[in-house]
Amino acid sequence: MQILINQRPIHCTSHDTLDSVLNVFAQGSGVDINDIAVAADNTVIPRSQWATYALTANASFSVFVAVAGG
Amino acid sequence: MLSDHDFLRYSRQIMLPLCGELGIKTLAKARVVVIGAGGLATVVAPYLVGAGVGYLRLCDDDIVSVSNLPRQWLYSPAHIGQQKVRVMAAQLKALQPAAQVEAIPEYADNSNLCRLMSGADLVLDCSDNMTTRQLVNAYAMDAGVALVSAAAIGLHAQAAAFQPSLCGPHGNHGCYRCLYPIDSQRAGNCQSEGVLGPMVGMAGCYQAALALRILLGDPNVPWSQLWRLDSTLGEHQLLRIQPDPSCSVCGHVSHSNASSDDSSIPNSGV
Ligand SMILES: [Zn+2]
Repeated sequence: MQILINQRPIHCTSHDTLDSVLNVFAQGSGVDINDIAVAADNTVIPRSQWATYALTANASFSVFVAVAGG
Repeated sequence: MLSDHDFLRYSRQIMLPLCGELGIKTLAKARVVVIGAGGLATVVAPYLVGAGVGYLRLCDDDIVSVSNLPRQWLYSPAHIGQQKVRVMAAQLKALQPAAQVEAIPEYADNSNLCRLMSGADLVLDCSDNMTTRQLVNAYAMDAGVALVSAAAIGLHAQAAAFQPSLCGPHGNHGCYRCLYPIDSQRAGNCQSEGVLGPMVGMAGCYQAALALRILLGDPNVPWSQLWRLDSTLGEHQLLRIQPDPSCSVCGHVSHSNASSDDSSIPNSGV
């Protein structure tokens, strides 16, 4: 199955969760998993739901890093 | 009735259906607390005072340094070494002598946030670090004071408004911590990662517009919606922030009884 993260295709299996996919994505992007947020359908997915969030084929996620400067 | 001078001064705002003459009076009575006196505040504060907000409380213990000058344009080389809140208060008084501007040379923390926020109609998070952002959110939610949080780093800007009475499992809106349940102090700050000045300006402008809309009672304020601008990709989003049932700030206590429950203010991890 394929999903999209920031418009880039990512391959995953039925065993993957949003949590596991984001871990791989964060490592590959050199960002700390603790510093990111993720949204689908213009809605932020709370971190506590990452582990149980069901991935469906062609789902599109927007991943971004927390911004705290000012 | 507004004076002829005020009518002239605010004529472009009075034309707006959102404001009108009544709006000018509403803004004159508004009390706004600004946490942080860096790049965001140097944009937000002049817009609010310029628009006629009657009272601003500026909170920061930082002094003006040469590395602030590219983007914190209320400060000039002559101010280096001076207390930011005092310089800013003087600049704001020059812009609008009728405004009351209180300069509090303190960093916001667990020991003073209750006092800093007392009497506020609105709190603006213009701070520069995640620890302070989490604290400001927790205290604003507990006190039931509306919050507008804005931030910038690199080529990124983000901002969102939060209304405590709408947040949590009963309200269907998330708070700042529902968005970022982060306690790490080094998450995205300008000192470690740099920032392009105009990104702070854009975040501050969006924050100022939200603040004025809230104070004027706009029924269409995008509560708990994260505005994010990524200038590296030219991308721009408005994302709904859902309540996280496990949020340590808004998840387990409803707003109506929050004020009687001091344990809802997290003291750990800060
Ligand atoms: Zn929350």
